[in-house]
This record gives sequence, structure tokens and C-alpha cells, in this order.
Amino acid sequence: MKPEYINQDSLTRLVVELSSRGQLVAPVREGKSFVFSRVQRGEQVCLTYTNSTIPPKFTFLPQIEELFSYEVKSGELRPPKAGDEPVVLLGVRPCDSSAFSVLDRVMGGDRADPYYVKRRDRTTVVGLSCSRPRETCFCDAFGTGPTDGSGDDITLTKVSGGYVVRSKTAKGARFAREHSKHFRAATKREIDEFESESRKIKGMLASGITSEGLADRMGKSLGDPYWEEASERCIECGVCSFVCPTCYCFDVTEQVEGDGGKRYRGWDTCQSCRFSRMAGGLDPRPTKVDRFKHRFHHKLSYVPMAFNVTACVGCGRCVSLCPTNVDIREVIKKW
Amino acid sequence: MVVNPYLPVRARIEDIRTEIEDTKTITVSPQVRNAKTMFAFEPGQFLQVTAFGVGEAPISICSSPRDSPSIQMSIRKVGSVTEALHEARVGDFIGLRGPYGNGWPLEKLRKNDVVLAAGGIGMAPLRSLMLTLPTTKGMRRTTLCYGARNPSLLMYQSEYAGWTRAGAAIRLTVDQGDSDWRGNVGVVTNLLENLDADKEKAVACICGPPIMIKFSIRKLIQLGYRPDNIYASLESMMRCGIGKCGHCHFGAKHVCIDGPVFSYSDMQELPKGFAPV
Repeated sequence: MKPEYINQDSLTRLVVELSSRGQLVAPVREGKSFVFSRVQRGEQVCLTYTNSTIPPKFTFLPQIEELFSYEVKSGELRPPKAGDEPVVLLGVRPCDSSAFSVLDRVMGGDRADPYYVKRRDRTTVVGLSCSRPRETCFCDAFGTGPTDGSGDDITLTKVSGGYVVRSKTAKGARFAREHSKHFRAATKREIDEFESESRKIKGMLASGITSEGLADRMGKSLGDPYWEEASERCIECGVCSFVCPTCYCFDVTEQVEGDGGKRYRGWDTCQSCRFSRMAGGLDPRPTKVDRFKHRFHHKLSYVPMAFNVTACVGCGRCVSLCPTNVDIREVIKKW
Repeated sequence: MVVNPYLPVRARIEDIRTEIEDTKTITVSPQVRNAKTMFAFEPGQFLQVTAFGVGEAPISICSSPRDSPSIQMSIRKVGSVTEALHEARVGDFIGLRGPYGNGWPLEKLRKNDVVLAAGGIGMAPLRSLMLTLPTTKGMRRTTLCYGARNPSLLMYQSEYAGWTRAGAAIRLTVDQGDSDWRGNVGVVTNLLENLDADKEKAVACICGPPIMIKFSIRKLIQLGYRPDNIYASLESMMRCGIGKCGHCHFGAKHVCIDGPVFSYSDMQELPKGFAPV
């Protein structure tokens, strides 16, 4: 499909339209940071942000969600009422969008997760190419940015006065058709600017990290004393997992009130000492070193082996938000 | 319609018997019309069992597939879910998801001599196998080597005579005997020597505590069994049973979908610290 163009005013109108229908999830300012949230008023949306504190993965994998409710005595189940109204997830940065492709591999497949798939199916991802990287960004290491996130249905790239718009999937093309009054074909000048902008932003990223052969390199590192020292400063708070756009591990828990029970699942972290401990007390990862090591191996070696995709997209959130400055870039460079 | 794998099927508890001090064997029947197909299983597979109001835990099936859709599980009281299951009565409902996992290598087991090594409650998934194998008995020999801490902790004692009649040799041992015990005292690995089995081709299936698995494998290798013919059922913390929750993911494998039965050759490919080898 040929690139299209939307000017700033039209985009503002589109945002208002979508938000008035209650369909829009987009970055809004909250204090000094940005969060993705359900937008009520179009003017809340900010597309000049660098990235959100919490990645938009919660659109598909909520922090907490009900799996079903039941009557304790009889075990009669009631599946949750899952909405299937369309959602437009606007302004997703390429790293976070590429993380959706990682989640798709894990949550889709032969034993698809129905909750994830339902949310994913009803959502159109409108990606937003980056204009300036943050100091902690390293998407160049994995080819997951800074333009064209692999989970985009349609991608916006900032040029003078508006955005160049490119549909990537059938869903994206449908979105462009449905809202065609806001779009027009991009001119040669706009496409040229889009191309030079893309080159420019790519040139701004030079992490010096290569992901080639990383799974193998990580595999060989398993017994190395390096991990003892590297894990020393980790306080096992788990923030690295919770802000990670690819971390998908979940815990399952029950809540009971009277004769009614509910089963929930929620984000878990392998940095917790409860993550792999069994009821009898056995634990294949009893020490902090084991758990610290596992996080990196899971992302960079186990997920690649099991799902053929690397579970790091170089968004840098774990780097900037770790309270003790654990830096995955250093770990990768080491190996 | 997309099947939601997270929804347990209601099952009625039909029978409860105390197996050993902290372990009960329950018989359940799933309350669905197509229970026989839905819960068709192979020995070595497990179920995600819900105690409504408390939670869910993975538990091995210990009965024969022939009794399907009636299913038995031996449940040791070790945590909140198993404790609740111990309090359940006949007629109560529990939830079942599954069966999950790969099970023992039946094809191979049907054609070759079989050595089963069990420790403690590790006997449960091997009982399922024991009840399945004798019907296909030909020229092949089956030996069960089973150990527990003391004689009262040997599970399924009333069934040993039947297993022997069906052609299996049974060797028992305990860590500590009592006044009536005339049998072996010591670890299971001691029982693995001088077995009536063709070591070149014999298939060994092990289930028990990690340390027991580790030393049983070591012994079998020493004795000349082949790494790809030695299998063990491994335990892991898990939530979903379908390879999503991440808890049992090690290396390229998920215990819930690629296991819980792994050959020793496969275990050597797994990251150290996970498999007890």
C-alpha cells in the first residue's frame, strides 16, 4: 500500500473521534511521566513523548485479570464477560510494538491463550516511529526500532506538519480505509523527508551491542563466577520484570468472598523467591544469584530457544528504573 | 468455539482412601458428557487440580487409562491446595484441567525390558504405568525397585501380589525397617544391581525425590544402561500447564508441555541446576 499522510489537525480530529467512542488507548501525561490509558478527551493525548514508564503490554496482558469466577461449594464456573468492542492503541513506540510480536509467539501458537488473543484481535496497533532516542535505548541491538515496530498494524512517522502513514497489516489497511477522510496520499517531498528522518534516527543509535549468537553465548555463561558479582547489588524488587514490555510470566491466585470464588492471574517476576519454589519447599533456584541469572537467560537464551524470538527489545526501561543500576546492556556486552 | 484451557471441569469425588500417613488416593469422575475423550490420558501425565476456594496444583495421575473416565490421584499433604483436597469428602466437587505433559515412553516400554525406580510418593505416576504395562507383556521383563523411608510408607501395598501375578518382579527397600520388616534396608539405587534385564535395550523410568533421581541415573549409567533409555519424571512449580506462565520454563523446554518425563539425554541439554543430574 502506498504511503499516506495525515496532517496534525486531522490527527487531532481523528484522536477526538476515537476517544469520544471510548475506543482509544494512548499516551497521556501523568506528572513527569507518560502512561498509556483509556483516553476520554482527545487533547490529553501526547505524541511527542519519548516513551511511557509502563509499557502498553497491559492492553493485552493486564496487570491483574479475572480468569473466571465460581461457586465454592458446587464448583459451578462463570467465565468473565470479555468485551470485544474495537480498541485503537495509538502511539506505540517501535520497541514496545516489537514486544507484541514476542508476546504473540508465547501467548499464541498451538495452545493459544484465549484472553490474550481476544484482546489482541480486537486491537489495532498504531505505531509511532521514534524521533529521538533516550540515553538508555538500545533497540538497534535487536532490530526492534527505532522505526517500524514489528507489531504495528499501521505506522506513523513524524514529518513537517504531520505524519507519513504506512499500513502494515490487513487490520491497519482497514483502519486507514475507515478513517480515509483524514488521510491523503503522501507527496514525494513527504516521503523523502520520512526517509531522511528514518535514516537520521537510526544513525542516532549506536549501542555497540550485537545480538548475534547471543543465545549461545548466554548458554556458555551459565557456570561463570561473573553472576555472583553481577547479582550482588540486586535487591530482588522485580521492577525490571514489571516494566519490561516482553515479560509475560504470570501468577495465579484465588479470592474468596462468602460462597463465591474468583481466580485471577497477574504479572509475576522470576526475581521473587517464591517464583519457582514448590509446595514441599523444593526450589531449583534457591539463591539470588540463581534468580538474577535466570532473568537474563530466560530473555536472551530460553525464550529464543523455545519460541525463536529474543525477549528483549532494547527499550531500556529496566536500565533506567532499576534502583541499584543493574544494566542489561552490560550483561549482554559481557557475553 | 475457542476452548478456554484455563477453565477447570468439575469432577465428583467418588472414593477416598488413606494411602499412607500423609497421602490419600482419591477417585474422581469428571462431570462432562465427553469425559472419556476429554480426559483420555497416558501414564505419566498429570492434571491441574482445583480445590475450589483455595487454588490449583499439578498432580500426577496414578490410575490406569483403562479405567477412564474414572481417574485416581494420590495426593500428599504438602501445601494449601493439597491440604484442602485432604479435607474433601466423597460427593464433593473439585476442578480438573488437563491431562497435561508427555507421559512415559509407552512405545519403547512395550517392546523392551522395563526397570521402574520409585522413591516415596514418586510411585504414583509409576503405578499408572505398572497398571498399563502387564497387559502387553510378551517376552519382556518388568522390574519395580521401590523404596520408602519406612515400611508403613510404601504405597499401594495391597496391589503388589497382583502386579507380581501379572509378571512383574518387585524389589522393595526402606531407609529404616521395623520389627516385622525382613526386606532390604538402604537406598533404591542398591536395588538396581543384578536386575533381570537386557541393559543394552532396557528402558528405565524413575520418579522420586531429586537426590534419588540423581543417584539412580548415575547407577544405571554405571551399570551400562543407555542415556536415551533412562527417563525421569521431574517436578516444577507451574501455574498454567500450557507453556504460558513461565514458571517451569528451563532452556528450550517447559516441564508442563515437554515434560514432566525427560530422558537423561534430554536432561543433559537442560541448564544446570534444573534437572537433578
